[in-house]
Amino acid sequence: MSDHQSPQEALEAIRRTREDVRRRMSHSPWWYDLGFGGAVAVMVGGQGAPMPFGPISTAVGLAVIAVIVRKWTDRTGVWINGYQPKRARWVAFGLAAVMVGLMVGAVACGRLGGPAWGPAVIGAVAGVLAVIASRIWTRVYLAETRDLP
Amino acid sequence: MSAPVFDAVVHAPGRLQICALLSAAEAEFATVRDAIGVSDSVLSKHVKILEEAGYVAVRKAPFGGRQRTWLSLTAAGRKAFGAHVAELNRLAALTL
Repeated sequence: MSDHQSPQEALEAIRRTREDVRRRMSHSPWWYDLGFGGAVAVMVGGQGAPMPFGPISTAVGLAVIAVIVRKWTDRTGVWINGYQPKRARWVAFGLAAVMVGLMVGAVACGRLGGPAWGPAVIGAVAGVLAVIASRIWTRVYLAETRDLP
Repeated sequence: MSAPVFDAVVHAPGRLQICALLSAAEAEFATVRDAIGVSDSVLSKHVKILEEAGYVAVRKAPFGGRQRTWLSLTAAGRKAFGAHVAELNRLAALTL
């Protein structure tokens, strides 16, 4: 690239560079979905377990997420906070709101006399929803980067 | 949409691509280096200029017993890059 590149050439260089980022951000291996969904399932479902398993499940879930995020960033070399992109952040906020609701449900089910299998089912539902939301977030983010100025 | 403003710091060779990459995500030093096809020392010079302009933030993070350098665009950098791209689009429309 030279100092004297035309505006069209400069815009094309920007487009090519962004395409590289989008390709890296599209990296979605099976272990990421499994790890993320599993971690969320443990964190949500664990809230319905007797003390001290609630805090322990939260710690285990966060540790698993930290490991998979580290492994993913090591492979792709890029990272973005889920709450940062203007459009995609709403998927993250929505997922967080649903997860809080499911956690309350798991607590109510596990500690206030609900069925014993309740928290496990709620945790499994949370895990599946987390993976779906993760995929939706990626799609919205990729579309958002395509429309960046 | 930013008002079109040509920014010589952003437009210089390599730095335009660095800003383009970082406008989409935070990136590791080696990833940026490979993406724009320059040496470590050349990238370091670009990053230093962008950092001094307040456009890029540098973060060190330990990984596997060594330090890794992560680069991100600051709010000022995002604004300057947006304005510069708006100017490029304006110029491109004029020269069509």
